[in-house]
Amino acid sequence: MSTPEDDDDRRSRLTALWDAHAVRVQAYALRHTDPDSAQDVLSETFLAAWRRLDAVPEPALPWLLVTARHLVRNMHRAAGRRRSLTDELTRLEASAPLPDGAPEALATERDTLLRGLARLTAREREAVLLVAWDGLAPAAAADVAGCTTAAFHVRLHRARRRLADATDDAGGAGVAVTRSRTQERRSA
Amino acid sequence: MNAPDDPTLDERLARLAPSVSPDPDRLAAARAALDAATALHPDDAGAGHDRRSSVEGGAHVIDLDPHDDGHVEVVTPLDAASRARDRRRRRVTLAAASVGVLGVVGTALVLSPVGPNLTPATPERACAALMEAGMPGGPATDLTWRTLASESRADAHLALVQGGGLTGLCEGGRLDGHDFTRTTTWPAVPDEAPEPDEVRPSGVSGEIVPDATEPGWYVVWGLSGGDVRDVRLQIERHEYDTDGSLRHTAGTVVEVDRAGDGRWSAALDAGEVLPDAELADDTLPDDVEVTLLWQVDGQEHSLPMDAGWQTDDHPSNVLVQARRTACEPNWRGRDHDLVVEERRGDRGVMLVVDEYSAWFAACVQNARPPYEPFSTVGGDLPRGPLAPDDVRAVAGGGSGPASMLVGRAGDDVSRVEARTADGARVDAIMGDGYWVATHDAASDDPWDDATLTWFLDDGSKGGSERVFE
Repeated sequence: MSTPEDDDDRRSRLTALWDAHAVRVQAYALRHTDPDSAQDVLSETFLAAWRRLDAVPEPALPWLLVTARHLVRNMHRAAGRRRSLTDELTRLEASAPLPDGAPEALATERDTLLRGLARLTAREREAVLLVAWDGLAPAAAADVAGCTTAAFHVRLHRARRRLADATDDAGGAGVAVTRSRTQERRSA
Repeated sequence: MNAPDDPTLDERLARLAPSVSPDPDRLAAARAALDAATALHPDDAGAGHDRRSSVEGGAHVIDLDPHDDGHVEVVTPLDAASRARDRRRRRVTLAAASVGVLGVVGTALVLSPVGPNLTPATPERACAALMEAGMPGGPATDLTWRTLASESRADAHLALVQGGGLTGLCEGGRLDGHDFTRTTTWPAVPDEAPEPDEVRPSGVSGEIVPDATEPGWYVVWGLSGGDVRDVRLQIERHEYDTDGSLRHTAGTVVEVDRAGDGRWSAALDAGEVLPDAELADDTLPDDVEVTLLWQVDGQEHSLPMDAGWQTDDHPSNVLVQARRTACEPNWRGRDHDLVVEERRGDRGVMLVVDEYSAWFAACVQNARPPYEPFSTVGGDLPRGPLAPDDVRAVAGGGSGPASMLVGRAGDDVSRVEARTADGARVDAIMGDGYWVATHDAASDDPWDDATLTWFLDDGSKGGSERVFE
């Protein structure tokens, strides 16, 4: 049985974790699932941290993202859903909204990059964003992605190359995102 | 073109990184939920707390608490399905006021940590009990359950049963060191007897995931005719170069289990069915093709499991027929033209119109067998001419993953885009002067305050307006 002091300490740690990482975990969840499910993933991730507070390492973000990944995967398996490229683009837009008052150039850049990201495979997109958006080093990002660091480097390299190709070829992206990946490859 | 490792790409991306919450309202709601849970159980949110997350798309996802090895309550799947259906019905009833709704069904998914209930010794009986426990009005005792498939591995069990108008799949196993059971139910779609030389898939569950590290199954079941021999599943994974050319193919073939009455099934460990080799790094379920193989009089026959949507390559195979038949009751007996027929992820969309009597019906259905419809909407089409560069929304209906918006498009319109009030952008499927937009909506009214934008053949913007003004 814990004492009130223990409980206060635990709550302080949880609050600190929340303040430091909740936005990142929410953005991660929004990249992978719909807004309502992302809300559940966010609260469940920190609930898991609350239960295993002593096991949460520093830095905590990779641990939290791995937990969120498990929860998202469970949800997807439960729902048995497959995602289209249109879904991917919608989720990317939701996870990285354009700031109020952003210049038009940034809006155009955002549209180009998000469409390019939507054309990557899920793993390639994840590799790029764990580094560029979540600020993880490749070793920590590999833990979140569930692969070896060497495999992650390969994945990241390939993802950057394909994203560069996709954003250079942005004119065709509007058409591509209307088709499923399977269809896209069949027609290639 | 940028060099592959051009750091400016990361910099460009970093400028888009969310520095504040992308959704402050839901962030606050999640914090409130966390506070409530930790306040209820300050030491540990283990035994006794409500372990269910909110219902999402008919699914409960249960937290698997590492500190609690005890037995917990069984969540009744059909209650959840019933609630989901009720919500859909309520929503569709609203839509019905203007367009008339023809039918709605739903599926139920539940994940619950009841490992001891699904033991290797009696997975079929345990699965039937779970199905019965979830039936509205309490357990039914007079049902007869047929076992379609049953598999047990070291730490994973599976049973597929059919009875009471349902097909139920129960999966048990261990995840992160904890027992869990997941049940999935489908409404019964009548099986059409196959021809003597036919093999007909009746249902599919799961995905082939080449490098999965968690328990998971790919299950397929169906019927075969009397002349059919040697039914197998071929699973192939194709790797493509970025230019779309095929680089490599790896695969395997497994025999299905056949019963004496023509029923067959295959339950594959989704994580082990493919050789991983060097392909494990960059694989996705979409790269995997599953094909049914069988022999009749020594001749080989085949049917891709996703042939239901390959109407160019397989214009009239049994899966195309089954898919169309699943929605057909909504337009049976009417002359109609099929103007939209397309798969979008896990959903499929069909739109039929009868221009002579100015009538239409649309159906959003499961993209895989048994192709059950999630929602259907039909009604009168507005008469009168439509300008070549104009677009008109006709009807919206359904909710959740079955939300759809149907409309007409002028001859010069090549693309229609709907943007919902919550910011989602949906590209409509175009067909012969009509269009259908489908959306996995988070809200019950995704088309309220939605905006339509359309584009003409020359790429120019044709116009933009609120969906229903």
